[in-house]
Amino acid sequence: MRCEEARLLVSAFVDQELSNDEELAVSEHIESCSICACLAEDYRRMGQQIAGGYRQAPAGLTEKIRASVARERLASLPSRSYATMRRAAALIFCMGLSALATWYAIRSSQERAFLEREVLTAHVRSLVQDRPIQIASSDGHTVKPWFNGRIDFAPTVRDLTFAGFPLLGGRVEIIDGRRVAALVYKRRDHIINVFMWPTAEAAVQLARDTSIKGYSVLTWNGAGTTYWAVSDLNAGEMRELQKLL
Amino acid sequence: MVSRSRFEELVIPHRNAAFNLAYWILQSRDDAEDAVQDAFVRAFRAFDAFAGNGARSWLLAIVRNVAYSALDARKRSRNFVVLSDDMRSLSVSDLEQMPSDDPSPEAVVAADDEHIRLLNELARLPLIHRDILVLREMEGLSYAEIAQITGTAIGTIMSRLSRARAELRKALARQVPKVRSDAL
Repeated sequence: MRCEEARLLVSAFVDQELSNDEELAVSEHIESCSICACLAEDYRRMGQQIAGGYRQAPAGLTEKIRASVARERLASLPSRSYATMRRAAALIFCMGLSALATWYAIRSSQERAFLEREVLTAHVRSLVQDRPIQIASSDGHTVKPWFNGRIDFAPTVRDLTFAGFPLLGGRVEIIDGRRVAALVYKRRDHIINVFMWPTAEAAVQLARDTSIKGYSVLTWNGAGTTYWAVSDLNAGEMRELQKLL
Repeated sequence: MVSRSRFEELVIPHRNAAFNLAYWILQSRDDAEDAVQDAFVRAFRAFDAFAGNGARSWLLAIVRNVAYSALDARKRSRNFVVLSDDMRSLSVSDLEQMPSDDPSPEAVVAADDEHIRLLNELARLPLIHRDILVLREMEGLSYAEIAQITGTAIGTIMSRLSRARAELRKALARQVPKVRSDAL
């Protein structure tokens, strides 16, 4: 190894950071080169002297560090717990919302199924009794006052003979434990029961029809009233009646 | 969640290394104390992300960054190179105050002119050479550890250390005749 080459490696040689080959080469060179040997010796002595310049931390520094860290810890705690609480609050809110939506969906579908059964039963019962009408009249002005005192609201009563749905009359039914108005219409030989009661739901609910045991059941909301129409008519004719009411 | 006892156990023991490095960068005991406290606070904040190995190197990297920033801030605020602090010469009494690893009587006696001269020259070295010499000779760190702390390649550390030592040696050789002429 040439001297200029070795001189650059003496520093790393002293630190024992050379590869085995390099270390061997430098070591061999130093054996025969007094300049590089002197350099290595100087570097070692300088290293020891630099080490002698070590400055120990002042006695009180540890306590100062602990105090600073404790302050930092305290300062970080509220923000940490605030962030955690915000996250927790958001999570709880989402869970609550989801639970509410689920509950609402289940409840409304359960309620719907329950009412469907109720109105269907009432319709079938009215047919079995062979007396579906308590007040027989095709005149709305006769049927409507008849409900006074029998139920706690005034139903809208319209004769729809002009459209092929003559009004036969009305009666009081019990649906879901409350008295409701039942209007009876006729379409050809088919009897249609239209149950109605006031609702708190302001929004107009889209009409839904279902077919159960051969009966068409159509329900809709309008003008603060819930309507349930049941008959053995087809769904199209039921829709027609809905538009008229 | 930061475990305070784990921090106490892993990081606090390296306060001397932290102070020594900060001192040799800033060359002021007060500034070094401030920088070390700042560095420990930062270390505490980042402790969650710390892997748990090589706490000394991890802390020293933070100390080095804080001390460099403090140095920049000091230079900006004074708007000139600070001679009184940076270039302050050590005296014999200064050196005797310096607790060293082996405070034997021989070591104190050996704290002679040559030693003081060397430390003064070390203090005058460019920062880029000074801090790696401190990490190597005072902390006994490997090139890999120094490279990690300074964020440079191992090869760079190797050549920088070589240059730093050559420079220091040259400065000492230059001074010897001057000291001798002073003595005469």
